[in-house]
Amino acid sequence: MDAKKIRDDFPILCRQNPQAYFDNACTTFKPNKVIEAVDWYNRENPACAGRSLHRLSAAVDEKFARAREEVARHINSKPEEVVWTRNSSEAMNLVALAFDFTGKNKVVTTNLEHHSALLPFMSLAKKGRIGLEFAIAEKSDCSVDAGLEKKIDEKTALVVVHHTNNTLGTSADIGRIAKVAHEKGALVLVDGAQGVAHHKVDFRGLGIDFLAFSGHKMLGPTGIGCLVGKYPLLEKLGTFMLGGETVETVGLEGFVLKKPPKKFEAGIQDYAGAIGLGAACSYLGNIGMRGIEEHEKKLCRYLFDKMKAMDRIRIFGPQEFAGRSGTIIFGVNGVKSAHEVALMLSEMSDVCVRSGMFCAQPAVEFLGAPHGAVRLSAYLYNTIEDADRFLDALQKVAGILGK
Amino acid sequence: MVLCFIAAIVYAVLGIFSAKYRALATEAFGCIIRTASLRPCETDLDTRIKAGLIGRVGKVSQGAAGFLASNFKAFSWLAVFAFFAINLFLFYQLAAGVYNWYYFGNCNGPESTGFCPFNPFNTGEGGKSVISEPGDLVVQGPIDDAPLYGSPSAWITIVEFGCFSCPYTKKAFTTMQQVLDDYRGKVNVQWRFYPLPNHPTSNEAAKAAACAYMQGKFREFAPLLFEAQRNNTRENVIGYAEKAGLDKEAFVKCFDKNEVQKYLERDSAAGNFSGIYGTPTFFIGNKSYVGPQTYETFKQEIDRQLSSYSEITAAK
Repeated sequence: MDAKKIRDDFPILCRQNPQAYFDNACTTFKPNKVIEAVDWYNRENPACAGRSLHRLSAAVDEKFARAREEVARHINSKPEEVVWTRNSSEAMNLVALAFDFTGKNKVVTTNLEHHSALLPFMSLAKKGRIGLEFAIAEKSDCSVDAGLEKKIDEKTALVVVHHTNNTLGTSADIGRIAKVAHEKGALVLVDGAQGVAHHKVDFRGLGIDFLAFSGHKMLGPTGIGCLVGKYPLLEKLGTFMLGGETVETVGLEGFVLKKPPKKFEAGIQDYAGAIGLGAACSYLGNIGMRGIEEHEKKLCRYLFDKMKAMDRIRIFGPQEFAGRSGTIIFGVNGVKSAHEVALMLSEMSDVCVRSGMFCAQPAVEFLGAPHGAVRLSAYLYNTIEDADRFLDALQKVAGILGK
Repeated sequence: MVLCFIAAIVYAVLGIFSAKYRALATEAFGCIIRTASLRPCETDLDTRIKAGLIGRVGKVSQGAAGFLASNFKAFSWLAVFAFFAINLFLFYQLAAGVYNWYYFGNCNGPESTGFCPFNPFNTGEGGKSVISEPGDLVVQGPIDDAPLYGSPSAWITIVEFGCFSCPYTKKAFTTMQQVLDDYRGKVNVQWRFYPLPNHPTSNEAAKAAACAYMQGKFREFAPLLFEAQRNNTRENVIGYAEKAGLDKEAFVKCFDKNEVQKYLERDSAAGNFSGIYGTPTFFIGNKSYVGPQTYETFKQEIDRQLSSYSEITAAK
């Protein structure tokens, strides 16, 4: 994988003096293929899919269906198992609100989850609809696997866990967790917002039941995401939003829902977004997720080692690179505010990083950063030059704030 | 925290134009309130401002950025004091402007020739207006040997000291024509020569006008001089004399004689004695106005004086 060559596909990186963008865990840049796909819908075919019978509608219908196929291929699922949502937050909420917790109502999750995975279930627990238990990550390597295994028992209805952690970049052993959960009769919902974007995620191979992810974190447009679920489970899953396109027939005495995934997709869909996400999956597939993963690891290992050698930099989480991927969170010793560091990196060297709690406050606090931290997250288009620019800027900022 | 004081004011002003700044202003005010009630500031606005400033300085000089970072609190206080000092000064200027406008009719005060941008009641325009106390700086008119427009028996005489090369006097000339038209028989205007030495060809123009007056053609001649403004050379004014139907030979003779200069100096001396410091200056009864006043200004004063004449006449 040649990151320098890949940069030619991204208009924003072809400008003069582009930013050194390391905020990819938040959102990613869009390649020409995605921009063109979105543009195709808006400029040439802005019609409804599946409703009208005219030529424009038929063209959208075809592209929309093909986008679903592309997404399914990307994560090794069936197209009918892919439900369009606005983002992974909506997908997580869909499961939380539509899951049948009668009989068993225990949900197990971890203290390292994103708020999108935590809050829907914390809300249900507050209402008394579920019992929520947290597996606390190991202090040494921040792994959650063993903790989850201990918590999962016969009363567990659902296990909610990240594929790749948005704060640390570490990955949970999803295959093992799924196996344990299934042995105890529990289902597994995986927050794949970071995982699907940066790793080869095999939905069927992992044996998980539900997978949620967002398009914009994997080169796609904002406003589109997916819930992928095993088809029989999607059939059993209730609905939390109804409207046009979700029903076969409606009479005043009742209605008959369509089969999944349609029964979950109320109202006009984000066709441009879905077609754009299809294009992003195709683009990533052509490059190869294994290559992307390796590139990010290589780059972040380089950054990790250099940052560890800096006096004033404190890296949070595991102190060895093994188990990490393309994300590093850190702070500058003696500087309370992470925002200060991030803003100065931006002002001085046009280096883009994220600062704060990363929508995972319990996780960041657990890692020992009660006032927040700075997060660097790489992607396929980041180069060693970007990394050096970041390191040089960080050195300067640490020097200035340390005086 | 300290910078939140400045931020609150600056963002509040910018917030008038943009919603983005309204949110920031609210954040800054929230910070001030929490600080005032001895609670820690919840917002990180000050951090963002600090990082933005140090970052910008750091782009140019790391050393300077380091110095700013380690002394940021002192710089913040300095900035706050400077900000409030500048604002107090500006507030003083504004208050002085309002005071001047109220008492002198012009925000720049009696000694200024500057333009006053805020003038809601048209009390002055372009130049300056001075309404003097009764008896002060007043030239009573009319006198016999000076140009007089309008009926000689009019109740009110406006005495105007002007310079033909002055753009404000030129402007006032049109206003005077309107006053004379609207108050025919009630108001006349007496012209007094006050050529300003810093205006090119002002003396030549004044001499030419005086010579035209001596031939009874002042009113026909004056517009030509105003038109040429600062180009009233001897050669040109002789040309205007022919154009205005004057006796050219007598005009040239008058223009070159010393008497006409003395005649002008008499008017200038009267003007100086009355404390004139700019043209045009008008005297109406016991009031004086400096600068090209609006028609409404003259109308107000004329109507006021006419009504008091009417009252006196009725009482008799």
